[in-house]
Amino acid sequence: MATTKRSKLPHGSTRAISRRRFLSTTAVATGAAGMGWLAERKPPAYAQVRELTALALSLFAPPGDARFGELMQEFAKQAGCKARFDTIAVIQVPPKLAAEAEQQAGHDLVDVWEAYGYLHRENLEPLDDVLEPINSKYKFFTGPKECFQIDGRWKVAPWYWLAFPQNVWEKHWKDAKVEFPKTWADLHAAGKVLKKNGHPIGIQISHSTDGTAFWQACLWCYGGKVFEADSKTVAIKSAKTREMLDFAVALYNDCMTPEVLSWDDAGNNRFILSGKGSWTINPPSIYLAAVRDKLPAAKELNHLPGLAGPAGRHNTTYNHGLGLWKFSKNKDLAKEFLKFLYSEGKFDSWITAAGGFCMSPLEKYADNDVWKKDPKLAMLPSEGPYVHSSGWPGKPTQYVAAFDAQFVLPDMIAKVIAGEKPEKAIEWAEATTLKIVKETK
Amino acid sequence: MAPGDSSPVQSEALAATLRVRYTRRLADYLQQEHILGYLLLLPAFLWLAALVAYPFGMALSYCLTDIVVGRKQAAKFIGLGNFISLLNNEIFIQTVKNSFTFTVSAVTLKAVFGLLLALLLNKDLKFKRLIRGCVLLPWVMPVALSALGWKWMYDSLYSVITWTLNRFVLLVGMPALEINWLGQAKLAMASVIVVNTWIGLPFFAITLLAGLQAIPGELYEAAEVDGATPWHKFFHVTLPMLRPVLAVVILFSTIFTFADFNTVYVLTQGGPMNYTHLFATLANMFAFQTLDLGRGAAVSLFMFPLLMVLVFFILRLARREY
Repeated sequence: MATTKRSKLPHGSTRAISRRRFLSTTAVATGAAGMGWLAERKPPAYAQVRELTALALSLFAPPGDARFGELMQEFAKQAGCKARFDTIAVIQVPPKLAAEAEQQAGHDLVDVWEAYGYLHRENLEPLDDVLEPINSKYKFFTGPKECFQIDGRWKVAPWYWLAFPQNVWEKHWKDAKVEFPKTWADLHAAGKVLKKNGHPIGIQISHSTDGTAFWQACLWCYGGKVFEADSKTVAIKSAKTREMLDFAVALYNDCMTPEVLSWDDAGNNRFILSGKGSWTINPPSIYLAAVRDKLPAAKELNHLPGLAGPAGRHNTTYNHGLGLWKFSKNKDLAKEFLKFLYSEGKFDSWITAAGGFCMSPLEKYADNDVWKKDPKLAMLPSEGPYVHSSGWPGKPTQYVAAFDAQFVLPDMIAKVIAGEKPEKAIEWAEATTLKIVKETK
Repeated sequence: MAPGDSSPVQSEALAATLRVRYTRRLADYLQQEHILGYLLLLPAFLWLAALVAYPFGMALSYCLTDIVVGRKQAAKFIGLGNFISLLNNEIFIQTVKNSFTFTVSAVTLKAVFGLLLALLLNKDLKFKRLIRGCVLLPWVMPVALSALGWKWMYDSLYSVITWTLNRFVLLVGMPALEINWLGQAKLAMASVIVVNTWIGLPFFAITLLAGLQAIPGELYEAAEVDGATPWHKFFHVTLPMLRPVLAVVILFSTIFTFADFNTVYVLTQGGPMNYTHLFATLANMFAFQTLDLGRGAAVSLFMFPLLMVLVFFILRLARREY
């Protein structure tokens, strides 16, 4: 039996240390220990195992997420820390980023795409020290550079970009005896026949992110633009925009059905997978879903390079990157992880796991076998030189974010379809964009 | 005897006496209704203060500044600048019109159909409990989930509503309909109103049912003795007796409907051409997609004064005695 120091109580009896004395002694001891930790400004030993955390949207290709999580764990083992990779639905990411920025607390690395890099630029740690050596060694493509080099500094580490090829249901085209299009004009000509054959074409003219992206690519192909290269001067009111608008309305009237006016981002996916649609623009997710679910579309679908217009070939993309919060407590660890991620055998293994859905921002890994194994995916890397971020030839700034969020471009087209005069619709788009530039902080 | 001279036994006795005295005094305090009442209210008050008053206060302070997410330090007081800017914003003006159309239509539909449903549920029906349980389903289901279900029902390709209508249309030899539920401005607004009505109807029906069951049967008996028809009984007994409950339900529903977010966000994202944007979806767009927290807060608080007036009049109506 353990011996206990016994104290003599005032009235003569003896018993174990009194409750009051025990409490006061332990309180003093705990307080002293706490003061010691506070004085050292370090957490207690048990909390010193650092945890690197990352947040991203759930990829369309789940094995890609799984591989990324594994890479984080591999890194954690090497670095003697813990790691956690959280994925959430794409729709939840913007409010989550806003909440973390506002609270100045949250994950260390966050999935930032397109204009969100610019929107959060003041809370993102510059990453030049990590990315410049990577750029010298493996070379980033121009698109991710344009998107994530903000005010001359790398504010986001490019992670992947999405290709938006033409998605065609080949049999419908063969049945209609029409050639696959190389230009928007070719598409218009073929689309008329396809629609008559009961297989219309379709892209969103609605409040959807994809709709804005597709029509902006069309605008570029016709020589139009929303902003000048200075990213601030509004350039949407032009003869080129009028030309594109007339074309878009004709394409809608002759080749599409009114359902495109109500589609969300997945509307064109459903349209193609149903077998009704003959053409759309989309990342390869439609095809990959058909392969995964063993649908007839897997056999029928193919991808073609993006379309050209009078002003050449241009296409849209979403550049995704990893931003490091300035308020992160693990900045050094996160930077080390980025170096680890970009290293040979790691980044390419993630690209492979993502099944060809995620395109490499680095030239070094653009030649991955994942795009060679399946001939229907083989053309995807060739889109690289033609893709631009929203707002091109300017940068995807806060103005672009507001322009996209207000769906100005698809609404401009929808207004003309609903009966408004094209010049009035363009004036409305210009006035709305000018207001955005004036009021957006 | 000086206090310092007391023995330990005396000290303990004194402590025990004091304990008893304090306990009694506490009991006396708690027996006073005004004290106990406030004490019982305290947890709810703290809860509301933390989850309602604090965010409301924050929103109030944000809407008067040009605050941007993550750049709190740079925020400047701009007074009513955000509100003035909104009044010059075409999308906001459209949103105000949409919100009124949406709220007035949806609340009217819910009130009319909710009352009819309550009257029906008040009858002696077979499987009464089962039916009442089923009626509650749209109310207990998560709104986003219901909206997703409706999204499929309005889908341009797979709409079960269009499919059903076409079965009838084909029967009479007419060409099949292609209804673009969410792609045409007026139809899209009607569609979101239907969904909101479907979700909110049980709240009306069940609350009004409780109100109906509280009406004393003697009033109906007296009316019958006086030769009242069913219409007379409805307009001169049921409706006046239900008025306080109806007023409160309409009040709550008006506030909930004005603040609806999920229905529109899931179904249309404010489209087509901003014809279904509501205050909440527009506030979300400003605050989270362009990080303009000040303007987002201004959008969400724009209706506050008007709703306060509405609350005042509806509550006055509920209390009025005839």
